[in-house]
Amino acid sequence: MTAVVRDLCDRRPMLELRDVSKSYNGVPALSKVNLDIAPGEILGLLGPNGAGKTTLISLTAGLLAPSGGEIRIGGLDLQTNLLQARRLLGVAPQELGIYLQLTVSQNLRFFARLAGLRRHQITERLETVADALDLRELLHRRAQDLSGGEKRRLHTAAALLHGAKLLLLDEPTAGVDVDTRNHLLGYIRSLAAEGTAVCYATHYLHEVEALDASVAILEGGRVTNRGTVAELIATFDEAVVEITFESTVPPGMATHGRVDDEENILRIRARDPATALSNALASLGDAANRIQAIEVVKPSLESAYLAMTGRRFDPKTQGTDHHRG
Amino acid sequence: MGSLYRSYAIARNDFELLLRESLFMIVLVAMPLVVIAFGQPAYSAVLHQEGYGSANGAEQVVPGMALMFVFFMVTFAGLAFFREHMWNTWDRIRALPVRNHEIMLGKVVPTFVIICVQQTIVFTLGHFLFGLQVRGSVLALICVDLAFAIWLVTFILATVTVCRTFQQVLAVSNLGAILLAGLGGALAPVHDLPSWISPLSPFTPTYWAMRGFNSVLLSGEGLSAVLLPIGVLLAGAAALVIFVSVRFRLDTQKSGVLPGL
Repeated sequence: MTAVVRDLCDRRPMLELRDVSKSYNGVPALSKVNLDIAPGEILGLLGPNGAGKTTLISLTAGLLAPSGGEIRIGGLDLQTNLLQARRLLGVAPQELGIYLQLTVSQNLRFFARLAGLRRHQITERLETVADALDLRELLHRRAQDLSGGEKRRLHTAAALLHGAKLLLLDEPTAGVDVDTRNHLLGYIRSLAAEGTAVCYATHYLHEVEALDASVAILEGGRVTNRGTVAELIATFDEAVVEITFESTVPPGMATHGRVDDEENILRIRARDPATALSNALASLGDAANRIQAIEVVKPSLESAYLAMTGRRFDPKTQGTDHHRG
Repeated sequence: MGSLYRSYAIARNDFELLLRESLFMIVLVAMPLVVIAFGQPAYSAVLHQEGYGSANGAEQVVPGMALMFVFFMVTFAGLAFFREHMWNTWDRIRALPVRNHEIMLGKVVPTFVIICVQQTIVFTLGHFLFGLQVRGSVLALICVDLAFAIWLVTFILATVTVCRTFQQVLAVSNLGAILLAGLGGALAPVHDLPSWISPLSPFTPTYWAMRGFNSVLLSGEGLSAVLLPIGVLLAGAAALVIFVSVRFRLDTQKSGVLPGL
């Protein structure tokens, strides 16, 4: 890295998005998104399917050109200094991108060479990253013989080889076991502690909390909320009472809270969930026998997410975000 | 140096992947040798009728089959591009500090090398197994072959540029191999083709390559006699390079089911 670039990196946010928009055939996927990530900050990128998370990551990686706005990495404009900016960037996309026919070592060496590492650097970095992601014993195994979690680790490792200053990780823990997940989260925390900025798209809210990450919530192509986990919970310092009915929410109950898109779940935000539930049940009368389930979500990132988006953050439904946007 | 290093990394990766597939060696090398073995007596008779009394048929069938079967490199080289899209590694490469031309060079070099190796093997085995004699200049023969290899590489790039699915690449490869071999005189000498077909022959690269090969192998001529075929092949390659430069986009999405993957 040149002295100029290093100086820029020290003083500026590592990632700056200014009024970034992207449309596909006239359909907006992102609308005037503004977002900064500071060196050493981990940003948890959350949002429902189609919110624009993958588009945002693709734009930041320079894989897509924005329809409008400006993206800077380490102060470098992505459109005019793409190659230099990419030297600061490590990307692990959502879809696995590895060579199944090649060994773990061959895969890592290939991506390391492309990242510009020389032979002696490759060996050193490969060992560091392999240790960090528990791949050392697998170096000579073909990628196609690895388990799903091991493949995911290899996929993520390829983004870490050249010591990027900004990491874009799109669901890096999808399909990995608990130990690996904890190991990976720990490594990401240690990278952040060394000054690496991390943009971490995930379907697991507890990971955002475990990473002590700040949060940006994308919805409908816009950043609707941004802050630390503590700030968001403080902003939405209420529990959510969730009442699921066998069919649609009975008429009149919508005044108690918010009916979800499926029209069979009523969500009531309340500081005193017991009273709110008791009032709702009293209003229901005979319709109470149509209740299928009741759940109280205490103040947490999940209740804040619910309050902000009106949706549960369900990894089972969030995990299929293949749509570009 | 850094630029060449990254192209080298891509080329090396492609070689490592290719070496794990034996199918392409069978198609490119074994199949033409089998056809040569079966076809040589018939081609010998044809060449005798045309006044080449000392010819044994290898002078027509060896270069003809070498050209026809090397055209299937369109499939294998196309695969090298398309599988990157299927494996999601294309965007991964693009997200690294690699310039577009470095990616292209890294992809092109293995293709060019394999074409040259295939031609060398088929011609060499044609000499030792089927008695192919180079009556003219070996240098001229090599130059014609190199010009055809350059044209074929640019044609492959153009095919990858135009095709959106791997099935389209397969269609171009299979149809192209037969059509260009037939029209260009690789299957049978051009003057033995039906009268409605032979006027089309000069519009094919195979015609010019075969014309160059015939000059050297049958007529015993040297470099000056093959300058025109070489010039036409390189002009065709230049036109394709211009087309690819204008039309090829690294961010174009490619799709298609890959055989056996």
